[in-house]
Amino acid sequence: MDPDTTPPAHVRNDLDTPLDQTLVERLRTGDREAFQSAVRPLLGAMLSLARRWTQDHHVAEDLLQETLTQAYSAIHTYRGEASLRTWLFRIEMRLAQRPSRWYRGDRPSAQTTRDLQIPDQLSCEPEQQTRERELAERLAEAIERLTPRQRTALHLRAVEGLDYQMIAVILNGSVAAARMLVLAARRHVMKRMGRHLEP
Amino acid sequence: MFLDGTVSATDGASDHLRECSDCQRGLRRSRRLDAVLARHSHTPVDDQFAEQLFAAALPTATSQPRPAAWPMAVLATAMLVLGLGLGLWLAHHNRDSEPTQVPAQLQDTALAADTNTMELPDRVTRSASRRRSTWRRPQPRSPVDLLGQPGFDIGLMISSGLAAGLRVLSRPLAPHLPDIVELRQQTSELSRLVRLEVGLRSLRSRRESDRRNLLSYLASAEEDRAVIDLLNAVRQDRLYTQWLLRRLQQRQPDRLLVIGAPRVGTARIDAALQDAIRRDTSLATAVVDAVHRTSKRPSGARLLLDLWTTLEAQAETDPTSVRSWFHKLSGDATAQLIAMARSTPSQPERRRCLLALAWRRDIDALPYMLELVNENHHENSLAAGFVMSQLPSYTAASLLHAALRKCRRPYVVLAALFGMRSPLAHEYVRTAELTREEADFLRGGRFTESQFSIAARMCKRRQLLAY
Repeated sequence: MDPDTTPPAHVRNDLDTPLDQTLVERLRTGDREAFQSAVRPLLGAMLSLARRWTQDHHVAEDLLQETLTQAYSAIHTYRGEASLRTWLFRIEMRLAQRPSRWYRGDRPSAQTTRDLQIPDQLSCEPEQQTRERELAERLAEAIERLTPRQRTALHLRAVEGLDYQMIAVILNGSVAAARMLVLAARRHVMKRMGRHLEP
Repeated sequence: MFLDGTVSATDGASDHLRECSDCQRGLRRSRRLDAVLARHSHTPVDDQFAEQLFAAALPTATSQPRPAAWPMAVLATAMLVLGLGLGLWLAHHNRDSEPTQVPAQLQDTALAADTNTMELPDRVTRSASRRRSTWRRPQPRSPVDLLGQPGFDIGLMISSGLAAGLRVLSRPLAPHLPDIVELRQQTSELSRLVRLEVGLRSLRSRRESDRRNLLSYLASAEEDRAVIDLLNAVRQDRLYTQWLLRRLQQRQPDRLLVIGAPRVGTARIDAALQDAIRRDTSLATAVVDAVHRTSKRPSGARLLLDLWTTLEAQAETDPTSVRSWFHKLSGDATAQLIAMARSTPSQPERRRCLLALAWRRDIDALPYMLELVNENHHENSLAAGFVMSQLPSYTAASLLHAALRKCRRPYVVLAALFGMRSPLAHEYVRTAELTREEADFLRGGRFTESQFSIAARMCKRRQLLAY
């Protein structure tokens, strides 16, 4: 097996299931319902990626909306060869790197970002919950210090389980660069998190 | 690299891993990092948000995605030429034609900001003459600008072309209305349409004009069930509240914002309002008025207390106006103030809460005041007595009288009874050894805060009665 195609064990691969040809044809003709049904399962992943890049939930929602608009207007060019998820991620990242086209507000503060990184509901046990919260805070703090490309590359690898080739396509760079981005991000985050990563 | 599968087992990495504890630890940490990252990156998207997103992001069902660039360009040019030709022909034809009648669906799509003003849609004629009206679009004015004008009635608002968004424009209506359009629908029905439109479309809109129009509406609408629902929706809409916040943080927020934002009532907007008032204290009155007009706003009492603190710190407090702030607040403000007084560790803030409760004159505060009278803190006890002395005597006097004998500090309760000028207090005066002046002072009642302390001390010193 090609090492670059080996995803981490915890990621969901069902999002990359190829679409059947009928659905692709319906998509290409601009069928709104087909578009919605195909994209709906991917919204969570898209929003999560947008959040990782923008570090702000509201801006991420804007980016997601713009991505859907762009994707729908260009859906006739989708041939069904690549996974829909990768295709959408690519559009999203291209838009994210050109924020002036869709985003006119101020940049978010670091505090906002950190607040948003912590999930609302964690474990039921108080001790476990406190540990998780602390872990989440440290993680958010560490990720905040990465560059947008580094944190996005790490997200695509660790959360979405994409191979480096796909990451390179999405981030519009080389495979080697994608690999270095993930490596640097991982090293930096592990260093910042210190003992919090001990089991 | 091992983690990513780049180094395979044949490279000897696996053997090395079995022996090297540092590498084992590093690998464990890397795997744990990936797991933690995946766990904390989950962003659920609920169905409602997804629907809103698709509605906002995708064009309507009738429109198709753009097929290719060049046919569109050709089509657009052809349409332009056709449109110009048709326009010229119509302009010529209309000279002798009948005046355009207002279509039924347009009769309720004009927007009137008050009973004397109205915006006309483009296709509406203003008289029955055979010549088409040369109506000019009026200058935009927000309803707030109209507040000072006589006969102002914001209830009459009609939505203006749903696709074009809410527009708040004004124009003298009286000279034209009889000739223009028959307003068949009642005011309340028209207002409902506007609210519906605002609620459905504008919240997720990123257009500056939509957001601003919604703000105009929030600032001017009278509170009823539909407006309460709308305010709740706005409160939960992070995109819109973020926009409000950004505008409030500008050096000089405009007046419309200062009237509209306090009605929303989120903690961050309230904090931004405080900052704005610190920079310009003249905004305080507008904010307080807005809070008063919104009975269901959460933490209204909190905002007013903070505002009071700010103004006091800047020596801008007017005691008379502050008194009326709390008196006018809605019903649940008493519960809010009691909760704040209970929870705050700051004595000055507790004192403010108690003063605010005194000005509210709400009988619901009585149980907590009796609790405070029995507590160790003497100043709080006196403040609680002052609050009780401000309560309406027809409901509170008998309850205080009953509590007198069971109370840890009966002299405070007695002073409160004197303060409300209750005849129930007078029996104690008769048995007391008081000078005439002292008796007159107590019977006079209606104490200020400092007078109440004197009255309480007097009751205690003289031991008016064996309670």
